[in-house]
Amino acid sequence: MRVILHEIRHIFRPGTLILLLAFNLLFYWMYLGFYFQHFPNGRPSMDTYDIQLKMVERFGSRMDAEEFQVFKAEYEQRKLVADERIAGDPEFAKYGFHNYEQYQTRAGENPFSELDEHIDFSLSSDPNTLGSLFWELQSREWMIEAYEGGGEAELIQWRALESSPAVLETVQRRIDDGSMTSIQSDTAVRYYLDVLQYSSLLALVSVLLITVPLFLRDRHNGLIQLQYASATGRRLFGKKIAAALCSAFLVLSVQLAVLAVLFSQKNIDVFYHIKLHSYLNFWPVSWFDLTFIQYIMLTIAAVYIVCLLAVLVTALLSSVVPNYMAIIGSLAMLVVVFVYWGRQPLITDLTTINYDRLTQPLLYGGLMLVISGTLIFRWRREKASDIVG
Amino acid sequence: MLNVHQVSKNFGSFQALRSIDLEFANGVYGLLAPNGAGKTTLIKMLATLLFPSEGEITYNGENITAMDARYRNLLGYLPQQFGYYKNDSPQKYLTYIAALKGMSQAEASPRIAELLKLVALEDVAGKKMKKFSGGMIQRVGIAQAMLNDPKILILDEPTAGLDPKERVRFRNLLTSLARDRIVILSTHIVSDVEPIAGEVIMIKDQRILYKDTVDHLCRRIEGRVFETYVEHDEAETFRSRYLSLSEKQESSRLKIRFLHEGEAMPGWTPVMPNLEDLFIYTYRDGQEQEDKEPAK
Repeated sequence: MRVILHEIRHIFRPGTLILLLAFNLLFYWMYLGFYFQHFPNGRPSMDTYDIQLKMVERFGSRMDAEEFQVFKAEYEQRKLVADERIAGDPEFAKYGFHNYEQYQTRAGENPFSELDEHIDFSLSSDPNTLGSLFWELQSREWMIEAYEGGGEAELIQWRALESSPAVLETVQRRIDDGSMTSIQSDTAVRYYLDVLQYSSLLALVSVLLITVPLFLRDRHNGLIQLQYASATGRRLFGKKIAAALCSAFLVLSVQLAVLAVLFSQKNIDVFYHIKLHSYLNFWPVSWFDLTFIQYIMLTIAAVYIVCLLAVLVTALLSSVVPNYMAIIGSLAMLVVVFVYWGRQPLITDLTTINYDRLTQPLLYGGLMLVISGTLIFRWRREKASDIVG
Repeated sequence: MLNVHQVSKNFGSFQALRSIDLEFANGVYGLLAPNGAGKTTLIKMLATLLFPSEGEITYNGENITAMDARYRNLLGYLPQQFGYYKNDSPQKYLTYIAALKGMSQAEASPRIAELLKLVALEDVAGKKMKKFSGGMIQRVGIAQAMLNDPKILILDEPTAGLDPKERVRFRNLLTSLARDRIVILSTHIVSDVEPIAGEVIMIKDQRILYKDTVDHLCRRIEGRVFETYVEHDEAETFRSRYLSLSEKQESSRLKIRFLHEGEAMPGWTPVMPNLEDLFIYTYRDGQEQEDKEPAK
């Protein structure tokens, strides 16, 4: 254990820590920071999100048919408010608008720049302005539309994609069992997935950074002979890999803790225990009926697994490549593969019917098998190989 | 007792060592050979870094590969290219090596303090090694080799970078250590070995050429080493006829120490051969001993 602790100390040498911190800050500034500064991002997202928060408060995690009628009645009431305000506003009269419906029908047809300015659709407009009321009405409209025609729309979409009978059956089951009536926020889920896709990349590159020098630095410094002639000997190979896994776990946990604190500031926990399947959530149907928090835990576990597998790959490369250029080149390719082909099936789109039910278990199982197999092969060779250099 | 039985080492088609037989009891052994003769290969096999292609190495009758960590627990090793972390202090570095050697913190701390004092580095124990001179680094290397109080101490070119005073101190240290352990000193610097080695092993053409005491080895060329004075303009001709061992300017002439296998000529003074004479004679020009044309 003491050897592992020493190896962890070597991994977290000051230079590496500075590099890690600088990379994390830069990445946050370039990508992640935006998401923490702008949530909900613009309109109508913020209006939709506010309505959904109130819906959960009022109806709980699901909205049954009766509650839906209440929701629709609320919309009608708000529409009456809009009608009254339009009828009493001479600016609308100038354009021949006397109620909300007239305005709504023609608003997209002609430019009404002066009227738009008068309404004030801006991001920061007061909730009591007409602009805010129009945003709210628009959000309520699509939610009513989605709820009313949701089931059929879902099926049409998946049929259009020529989905397998298993997929269509799963979608039908979710519609039939009422899963889709849950009040899940697309804004919250999208927000989590956006943060997740960048966080997973940040986590991956961070653990690669700390693992790259694992064996290379010792070879570069000519330490291998001393290390392998000690009582620990060739067992050091395994201890170094254990140290790299522990260090990566530590880095991932610290990153996760920081991101969790930032994420918690957004108060989306209202939606954590609500099922993901919802007419109000554009997230694809899942093979499993998961709550938001279950999905979050699943994806966090996936980030850990992917990153720790990447640590093993990096450790293997570090033990065989001749120099830093070679390993950086290889890992750059690995990161590109992850971003373009790996991130969705391995992290963000877990359990969705976008992929066959067996795709992800096979993908994870295959990766684990190949990487651990290669590792065992390398370790055996290490035990029997001559230390020539 | 450390035994090497019929050990050969091949790297692909290249044979680095051939059928080596050696036996080491407590004492200092000097392993002498020019670079590339195979001494580092032998040292690395004794340190379990290389595995023999044929034969086996045993310690008290047990194969050292099979002994694994038990054997390396007895081992202290200073490689020719001794590696370290430049940003570590000797204290930190030795603590790491102690952990690799399986020493507990309680064992390691007093031992590190003792060794840092022994190698005169206690004042810089907390300083980063990147600022150290070659000699200071080498002293850290010697300290790490002795950390676990090894029964077998293997040192590959240990005096590289040490100043003359440090070399003397180091030689004395080895002599005192060798009372109850095996010390194998690999070098091509004859003066490091001659005063302290109980036995000297010379390797040539991937085989053990000699393994004997310094006195016995020197007797192999007894009566063949002479000194004489030569004028400068005759020096070149003289060198082409005889094997020059050393030369020294004295007044207007050269005092040449040389080897001749025939009868002595007038003006030649026979002298007692030393290990360096034998070394030069054995490894002259990379030629076989028999190839040298006899002096006329």
